Amino acid sequence: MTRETVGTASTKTISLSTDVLVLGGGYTAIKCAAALSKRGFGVFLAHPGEDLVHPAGPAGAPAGDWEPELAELVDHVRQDKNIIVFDRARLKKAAGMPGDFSVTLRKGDADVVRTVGAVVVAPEFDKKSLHEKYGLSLSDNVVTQSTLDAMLEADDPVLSGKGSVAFVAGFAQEGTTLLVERVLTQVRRLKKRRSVDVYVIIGNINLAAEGLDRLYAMAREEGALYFKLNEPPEISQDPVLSLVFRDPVLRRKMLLEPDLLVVEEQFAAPEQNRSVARLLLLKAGPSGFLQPDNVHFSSVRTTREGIFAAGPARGYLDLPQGFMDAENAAMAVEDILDEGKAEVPAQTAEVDRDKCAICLTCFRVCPHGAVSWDDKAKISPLACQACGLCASECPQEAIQVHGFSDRELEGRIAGAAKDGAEAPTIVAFLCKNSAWPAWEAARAMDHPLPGGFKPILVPCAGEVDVDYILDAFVQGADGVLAAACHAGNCRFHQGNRYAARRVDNAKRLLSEAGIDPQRLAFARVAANMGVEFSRIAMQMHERLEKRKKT
Amino acid sequence: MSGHGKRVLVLGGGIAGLYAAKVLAGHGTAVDLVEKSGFLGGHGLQYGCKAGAACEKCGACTVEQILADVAAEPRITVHLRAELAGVEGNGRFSATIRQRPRLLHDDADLAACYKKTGGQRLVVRGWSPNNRPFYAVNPGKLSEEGGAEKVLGLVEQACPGAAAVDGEEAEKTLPADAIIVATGFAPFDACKKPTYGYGKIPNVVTGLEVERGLRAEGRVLRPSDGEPPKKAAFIQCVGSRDIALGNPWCSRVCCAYALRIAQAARYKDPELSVTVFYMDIQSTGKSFPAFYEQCKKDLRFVRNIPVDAFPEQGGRVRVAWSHPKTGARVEEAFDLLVLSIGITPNPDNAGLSRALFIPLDADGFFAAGDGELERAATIRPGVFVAGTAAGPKSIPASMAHAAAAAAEALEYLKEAS
Repeated sequence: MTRETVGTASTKTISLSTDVLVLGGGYTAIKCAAALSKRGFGVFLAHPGEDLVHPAGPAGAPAGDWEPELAELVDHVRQDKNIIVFDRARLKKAAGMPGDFSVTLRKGDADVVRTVGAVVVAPEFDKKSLHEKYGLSLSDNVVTQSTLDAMLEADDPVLSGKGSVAFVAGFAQEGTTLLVERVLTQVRRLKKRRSVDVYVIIGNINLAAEGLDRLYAMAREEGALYFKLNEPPEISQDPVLSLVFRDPVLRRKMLLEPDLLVVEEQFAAPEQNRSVARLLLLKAGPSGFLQPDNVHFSSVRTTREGIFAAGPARGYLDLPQGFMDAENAAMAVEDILDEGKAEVPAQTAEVDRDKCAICLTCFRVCPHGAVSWDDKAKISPLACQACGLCASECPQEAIQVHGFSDRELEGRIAGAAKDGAEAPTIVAFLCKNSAWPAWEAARAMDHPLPGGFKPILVPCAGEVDVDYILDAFVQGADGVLAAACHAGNCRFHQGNRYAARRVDNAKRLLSEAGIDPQRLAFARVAANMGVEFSRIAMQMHERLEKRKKT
Repeated sequence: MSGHGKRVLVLGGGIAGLYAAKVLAGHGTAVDLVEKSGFLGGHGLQYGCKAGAACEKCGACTVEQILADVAAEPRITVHLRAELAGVEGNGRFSATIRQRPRLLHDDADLAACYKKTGGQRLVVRGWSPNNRPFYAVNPGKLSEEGGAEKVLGLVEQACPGAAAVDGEEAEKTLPADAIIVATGFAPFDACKKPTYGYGKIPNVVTGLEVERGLRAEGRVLRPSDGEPPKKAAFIQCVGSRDIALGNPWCSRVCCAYALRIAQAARYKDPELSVTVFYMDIQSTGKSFPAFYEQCKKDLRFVRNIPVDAFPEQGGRVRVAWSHPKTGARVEEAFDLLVLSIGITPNPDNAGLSRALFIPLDADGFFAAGDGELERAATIRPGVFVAGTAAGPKSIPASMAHAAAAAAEALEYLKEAS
C-alpha cells in the first residue's frame, strides 16, 4: 500500500508506505497490530515463536481476569486480513527512512524483504532466574517463579504435597512493581488451591503501579505472612531447606523450614532489543531498554522518527501499560504516515551537494538516523528534527539548518556583539528547548538580567559552532555564554555533550590566541528555571565587570 | 486525520489535560480546554528542576514545554476560571460551563498594578510566561473579601483603569463529541496528621511547598529564616498507605520527588545531611536501580515512620521515632522537616461523577479502567479519564495516560461518525 502526498510549493511529493512492521509475539505486539489494522494500516507481525498463541508470554503478570479478552484478541489478529503474521521470524536487516523503510526478515532459513512506513518494536521481557545470586541450586524444593507458574498451570500433584511455601524476592535485584505483582499473584493462586502456609521474605514492597496497593491488601487478608527485611535471609539447602532471619516486627530470630522455596526472577529488557537497536540505529537507554531515559522521549518515542518502542521494549511496564503503549504507537504511526504529514517541515537541514565530500560525519552524529547517501549525503525531511548537530560538525560546512544558517547566525552575532551597551556585552547562545524559555521566564518574573545581555536563539546548544563563539569575540563581545539543558535532558539525545565539548575547544583556542578563556562560559539550565537563568547571567556579568575594572 | 471536524471537551488544564488537548489538536480535532483556576499548568507547572550534575528525570520541565505548545495551538480554545455545570446528550454532548469573571482589563498595565499592590497579594501572576493572561486576581482575596465587587473596588482604587466592569458569572454551552476528564488531584492536607505540627511549627513543610520554593528560588530553604538547612529530614507516606485515614493507596510519586529533591539540595550543598523515614522505597523508572544505589550512599534511610514532631529552639524540629532494630524511642532535631504528602482525590470528583454519570472507585478517584485493559475508558461511551483523576501518577505516567485517552477518544470519534 502506498499513499501519495502532493507537496505544496515548499515541499516535494513523498510517497509513504502505509504498511507497518511490528516486532514481537506477546500481547503488546498483538494489541499493537490490532490497533494499527483498525486505523487502516497493513501490518507485518514478526515474532520468533512457533505460532501466535494464547496465552502469549505477557509482561509476566498473569493475565487473570483478562483471559477471555486476550484470547479473543489473539483470535481476532490471526483472522485479520490486514495483518500478516511471520512466525519464527527475526529482523535481519533494515535500511531507509520513515515512510520508506526496507526491512529484511529472517524467517526460518529464508529472507523476506518488505517495505514499511514505520516500525513498532514490542517484544516481551526475558525472565532470568536469580537463584545463583542467593548461592542456591535449583532442586525439587527450590524452584524459580517460572517453574511455579508451570506447576500451577498444570495443577502439578507435587504442589499438593507442599504444606508450606516460602518466597524470597528483592534481595538479588532492586525490585520492581512487576516483581511484586508477580509474587502477590502467585501467593494468591497458591492460597486459592488449598490450605498452605505461605511466607514472603522480601526487600521492598514496590506498590507504585495501578491497582497494586489493592492487590497487596487482598493478598495480606488471605493470610500469607510477609517479612520485610533490609538484609537477605540466610538460606541453607543442606541437610534440610531452611531460612534464618530476624523478624523486624517481633524483633527475634526466625527459622523457617518450608517444603518449597520459590526464588525471584528478574524481568530483563528483551534480549531482542540489542540486535534491534543495532539494526535500526537506535540509541538504547539504561538496562537494555530501547528508549533513552530522557523525559522528552515521552510515551513510545525513540531517537528515530517512524520507529517506536512499546511496552517491555522501553521500560518496566505491565500489561495494561503495554496496551496503552500499543494504542499510542498506533496513533504515533498515524501521525507520520497519514495524509498531509509527508510535507517537508519548514525547518530542516539541507546539504550543499557541491560542498559535500561524503565523509559521513553527519551520518555518524545524527541522533535521529536521518542521514543516508547516494553519491552525496542526503537528509530525510521526515526524519530530520532540525537540531543542527550535523551542520555544526560538518567539516566542509556543507549543511545549513533552515532559519539557522551560518550566514543568518553571523548577522545575528554581529548585531548582538556590536550593540553599544555600557555594560559588558554578553552574547548568549540559548537552546530553544531549555535556556531560551528559562530566559523568557526570568524576564517575565522580573529576575535581574545584565544590561548588556544579548540572547541568540539556537535550535539546540549542539548547533553552536566554535566559529560562532570566536566570531562573537571578534565582533566585540565582552563575554560569550552557551547555555544548554542538563545531561540526560537533551531533546536531541546528546546535543548538550557536543556543546560542552565545543566550548572546551573554544576556550583552548582563546587561550592560544591570548584571550582570557574566562570570558567564555558554558551553563546548564532547565526550561522552567528562570531564577537559575538569572543567577547564571548575573554571575557572568559580575565576572566581566570585575575583569574590566582590573 | 482522524479527528477533523470534531470537537472534544477536556476538563482540567494540568499536565494530563494539556497533553490530551495537544495530541487531539495534532490530529485535527478542535478542543475546548476548561480550567477551574486562573492559570493552566496544574500542579506540575509549580515544580522546580531537580537536576544536579545531570537531569533527574522528574519531568517538571516538560510541563513548561507542553504548556507552550498548547498556548501556540490555534485548535485549542482555553476557558479559564471555568467549571462544568452540567452535561446533556448521549454520544454527542452539550456541556454547560460556568465561568467566573476575569475582573481585570487586559489592556491595562497589569505589571505595574502587580508591583503597586505588593505582588502576589491583590493581583497574582502565573508560574510561567506561557500562562496567558499572566496576571489574575488573587482567588484567596476573593474569598477573603467576600466577593468580586469588593475586590473590583480594591483593584480600581489601587490601579485606576485596571478593574473590568463586568463582574458577573457567565454560562456557556459547548458542543462536545467526546469528553476527557483530567481534573487532577488534591495534595494531601498535612494538617490531618496533627502530631507532625504542620501549620504550627514553622520549619515543618510539605513536599509541594518545597517544590514551589525550588521553582521560585532554585533552592531548598527554611521558611523561618530563608536559610538553606544543614540537616533535613523527609517523612514518607504522609497521607498515603494510611488505613486509619482511609487512604490505603500508595501515591506513587513521593519517594521519587523526595529523593530527587534531597539529591538536588545536596548537589548545591554537599555538606547537607538528609534523613529519609520510609516504609518501602518505590521505584521511579528505568534508571532507578542506579539512582537508588547512589541515594543509599548519600542519604540516611530509616525504615520507620515517625509519630511526633516538636518545635525546638533556633527553628529546629525534633522528630521522634522508634528504632527499627530495638524499638527504642529515638529523638533527633533537624533544621527542616519535609512531609512527603501524597496524592488524594480531587474534592470535585463526587460532583463531576454525578454530572457525568461515571462512577468513582472505593478511594474516590474515577474508576476508569480499574481492572480493565483499556485504562482510559469509562462505563459511559464518549467519556474518558486521563491522569491523576483516575489515581496517583507521575508526570510521565500522566502524559502516557493522557495520550491513551486521546487515542481512545479519536477511535471513538471515528466510530461514532
